[in-house]
Amino acid sequence: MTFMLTCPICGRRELHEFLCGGQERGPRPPQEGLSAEAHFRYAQFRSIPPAPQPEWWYHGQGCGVWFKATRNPATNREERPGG
Amino acid sequence: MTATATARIRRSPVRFDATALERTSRDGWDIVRRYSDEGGGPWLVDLSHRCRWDLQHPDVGNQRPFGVPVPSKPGEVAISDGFAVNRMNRTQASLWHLGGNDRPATPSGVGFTETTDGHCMLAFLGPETASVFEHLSDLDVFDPERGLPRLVQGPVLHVPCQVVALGSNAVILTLSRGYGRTFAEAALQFARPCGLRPAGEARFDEWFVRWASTRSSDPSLPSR
Repeated sequence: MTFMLTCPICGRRELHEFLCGGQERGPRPPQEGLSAEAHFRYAQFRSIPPAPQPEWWYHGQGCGVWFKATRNPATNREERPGG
Repeated sequence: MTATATARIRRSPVRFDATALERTSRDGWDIVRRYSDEGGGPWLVDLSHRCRWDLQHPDVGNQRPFGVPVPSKPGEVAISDGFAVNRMNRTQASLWHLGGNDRPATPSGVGFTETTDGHCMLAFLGPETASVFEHLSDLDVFDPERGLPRLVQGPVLHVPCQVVALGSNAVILTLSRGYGRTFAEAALQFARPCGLRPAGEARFDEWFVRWASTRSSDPSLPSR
């Protein structure tokens, strides 16, 4: 199912112009003292809560910029501040 | 090595299925100035031989390539002395040499990359240009709220393009060279109901001189 995403440079465009870079997971945990299990969890585990989540997107067919957008997996729609 | 072997031969990726009436050779390019039976427009003009550069700089908004200030916001276009400077994003601008047949030297500085040979450049000109473009893309390049000229980056015929609408009767776009030939063929076929036909470089030159003189005499337009 398609939807519209808002590129910070080009404005609202159709989904097919973008590539999803996955969830925004925050900074990588410090390497010092990083256990194999903690590293595995950071690298491999994802949670997909049915609530808005920040994601990375790449406007490959447009301006070529990486940006963060908020998408709700429950509705598969972008959610923007103020609607 | 002979002189023939060292001479530069540069070929546009675009071939029109039309008879050339007037040709010229410039800087290694074989350029068609006029085709037979160009009709009354709209026209598709191959400008792949026109010089182009990318400028990348952390403070790109304060640069003045070829004496033209880079616009402050992405999407804005500055045109002066035959150069179009298109602000792409936070750090990049594309530079197109639209006016004149000379070959400007690449500006000194580490941020400039000449892209002439890597891209294809096409111009859609004349009446019904807006209708032609609607056959090719969902992009709203004539959005009145954004004003013209304006840079829009997005897919045309599913090919990522930089599109600059200069006016309601002129759109110029660049795309990766490898798409050039099939892109031009598809554009001519898709826009056949609008009467789109190939035209030579002279058609663009005449239009650009007229457009630039109109712009410079309009006090409501920004001086740059």
